[in-house]
Amino acid sequence: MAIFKIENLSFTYSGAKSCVLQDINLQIEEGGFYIICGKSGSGKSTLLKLLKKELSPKGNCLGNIYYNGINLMELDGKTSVAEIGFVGQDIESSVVCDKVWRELAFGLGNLGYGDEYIGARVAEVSEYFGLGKVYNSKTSELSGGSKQILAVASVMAMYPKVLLLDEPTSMLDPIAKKSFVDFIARINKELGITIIVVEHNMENLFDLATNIIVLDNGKVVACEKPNTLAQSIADKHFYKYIGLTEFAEIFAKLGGKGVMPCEIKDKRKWITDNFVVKDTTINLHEQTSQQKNVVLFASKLYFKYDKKGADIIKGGSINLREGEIVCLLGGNGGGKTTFANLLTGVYKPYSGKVKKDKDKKIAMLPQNAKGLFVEDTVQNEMYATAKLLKQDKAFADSLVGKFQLGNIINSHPYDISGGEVQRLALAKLFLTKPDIIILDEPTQGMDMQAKEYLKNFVEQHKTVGGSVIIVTHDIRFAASVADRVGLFFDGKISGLREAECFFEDNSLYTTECSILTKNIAKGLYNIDKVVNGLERKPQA
Amino acid sequence: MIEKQNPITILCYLFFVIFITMFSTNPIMLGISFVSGILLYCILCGVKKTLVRLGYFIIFVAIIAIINPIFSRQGMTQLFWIGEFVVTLEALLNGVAIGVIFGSVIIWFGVLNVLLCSDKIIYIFGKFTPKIGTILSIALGLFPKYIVQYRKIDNNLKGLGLYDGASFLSKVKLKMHTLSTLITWSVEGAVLLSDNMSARGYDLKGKRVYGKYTFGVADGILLIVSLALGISILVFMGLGSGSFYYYPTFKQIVWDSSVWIYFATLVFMNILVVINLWEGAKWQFLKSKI
Repeated sequence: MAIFKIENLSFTYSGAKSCVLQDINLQIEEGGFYIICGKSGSGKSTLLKLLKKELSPKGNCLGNIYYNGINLMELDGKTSVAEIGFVGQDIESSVVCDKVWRELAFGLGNLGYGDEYIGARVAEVSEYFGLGKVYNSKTSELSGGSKQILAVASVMAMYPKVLLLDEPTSMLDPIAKKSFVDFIARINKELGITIIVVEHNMENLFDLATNIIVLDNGKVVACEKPNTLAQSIADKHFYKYIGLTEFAEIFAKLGGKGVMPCEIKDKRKWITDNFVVKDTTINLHEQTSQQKNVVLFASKLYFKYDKKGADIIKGGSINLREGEIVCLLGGNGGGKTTFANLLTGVYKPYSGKVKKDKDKKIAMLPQNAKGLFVEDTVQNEMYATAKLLKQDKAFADSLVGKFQLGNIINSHPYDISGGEVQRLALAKLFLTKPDIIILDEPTQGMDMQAKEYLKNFVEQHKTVGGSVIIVTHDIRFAASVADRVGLFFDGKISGLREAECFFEDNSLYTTECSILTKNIAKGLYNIDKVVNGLERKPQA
Repeated sequence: MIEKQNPITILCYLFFVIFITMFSTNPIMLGISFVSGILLYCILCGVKKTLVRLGYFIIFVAIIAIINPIFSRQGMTQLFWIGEFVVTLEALLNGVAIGVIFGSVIIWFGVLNVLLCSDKIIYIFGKFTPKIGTILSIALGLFPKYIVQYRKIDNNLKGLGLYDGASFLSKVKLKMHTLSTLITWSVEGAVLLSDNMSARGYDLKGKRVYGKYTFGVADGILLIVSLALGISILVFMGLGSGSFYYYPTFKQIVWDSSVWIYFATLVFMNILVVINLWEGAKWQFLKSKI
């Protein structure tokens, strides 16, 4: 039976002229795992919030939504709170209380249950989801990933029938993302709870989903099983907007037909059966950048936060040349951001030296730039920073043009999309006229368009002689832009090498493309290289 | 071990203890309150912390003992003259007594602070008004978030190179900028937080706040004893039992019926100490059998 039935749903925000959602008809089956995807502004979050009565946005809503056959608007408040769970993307506001156990009990307390009953439920939930160790901890001491897991667990304590998740992993690093996705999968598979996730990047969820709903301009353009999606969207070029897995994107770009293979051996077979390598003599190790000037040089840096604490950076060294993009990969808490802060001079090393070309300016783009805005419009934000930096308004205006902020110039910085936030932060950064830019996790929470923009941006900065250091978890992004790649591990960079060598020689810590093509050809380590490097076999 | 008592019982008990201490002038009563307070604090926090607290206590008492004769020129036993001021023994000891009252109250509040951690305070509020209980819990969760975000914003400004060679005034301006950025961020966060709260039923009627504490037989007994002993001690004090005065000279302490009030206070103020020692001994005994 359908748990949600959506009939002819249209929605217009109060005060807006055009509608966000148009004539939506959908059936959500019980026990399914649904992904709603689409580019920013396609109405996917609005659709999700309309399914949760308490969060329904204000506006004109036509059509009907039925929950288990009952019109959602007539659903009893307690049932709606308990049975339809919702978790949003903002980690900081997804947790309400100061202690973990109180957080787990929050919803049940609101429903009016007594201590004994709540105690039993909370115990059950923490035991099932392995929260026993942190049960008495303060929520502020948890990592981002654990906070999101706690948020879902607190909803699970109310025994929901359906979980609505609004970009739940967009602020998490890949490892936390993975454990969160496993956690969600378990809820779906073991407990049969229906899951509806809104995501602009489905890379991690793709293989779990039973159905993928693609929205574009407020309309449903596809509602398919994952293995047939790639084919159906290939003609419409939707892969540009929705984050697919590397293979799904290759499948779509190379014009794959029929059901997409799932297992790695089938994927490899599909490639070798249908394609041949164009040029077998791809030139590895083009080391042209060797001759260029070194603009930033750091040797054997040591740093710790506390006098008595352990070293965070233990002998980190780097040399950055003119017109070069260096990516530093590595897990969380490894000190990558600290290292970047040492390079910019925010922190000072207690041993070792950072030498910078005197004529070059260095600036850093922080993670999650949203919390750094203060003004009420994008334009005022630019002007305020320009004033702090003693730059004139004309220069600020020229940067607004350069970073394509013209159409959101009067918007509130908190109302713009993730990609726009980043462009605004970059524009502010360029008020300092930097030559060397350091980007800290720039792809986190970005949709595919924003990633594409970022890729073009750093490549352009490189062509005008600038240098870029990207600190990231995102191997796929690193593979698409980097000249050299290093792995940040145990407080230092190990093996900073040309990108080809790094991805070709690594067998585990590498891209899916590299793993897929390992036995076929050398140097096909990113999607562009695979798509350009292969050609279809002549039909026999 | 006292931690497992229901917070409401503990609060009720400590309320009476502090109230009795505040209205005592009798040196014996004050002595009992002070010694019992220190003893309990020592059991809860260890010798080291108690010695530190004792140090502060002595300084505090000394200061008030010195100050009191300056304002109070009553008393019959003249000790010495400072210029035109006469310092009397009564005024000096009255100062000591006032110091001990304040000092003992502070020690008992110290005990309260240890016994009633934020969890228990939220529990007590939550049982009476769930809204305030929840708001307290949220507020306690917010502060650490703000500190982390403040550092992030500050580091970002440093990363833009704004602090390089900035004057003191512009540094102050930058700190103001950081602060207003933090406020904008927190307002935005509050909107999302309230969404999350209503998604989880905060707007529903008839909510309760969950507390991990149960109200057992021991709590009932302790509550009844606190009420009975506490109220009767206060009533007898009101009727003049164990009363004491310093001026014009000290009242003689006579061992009449007011002995009972000393005894009752001694028992009352050491209930928690006795419970603790008893359970400690029991634990030792059981351990030796393992």
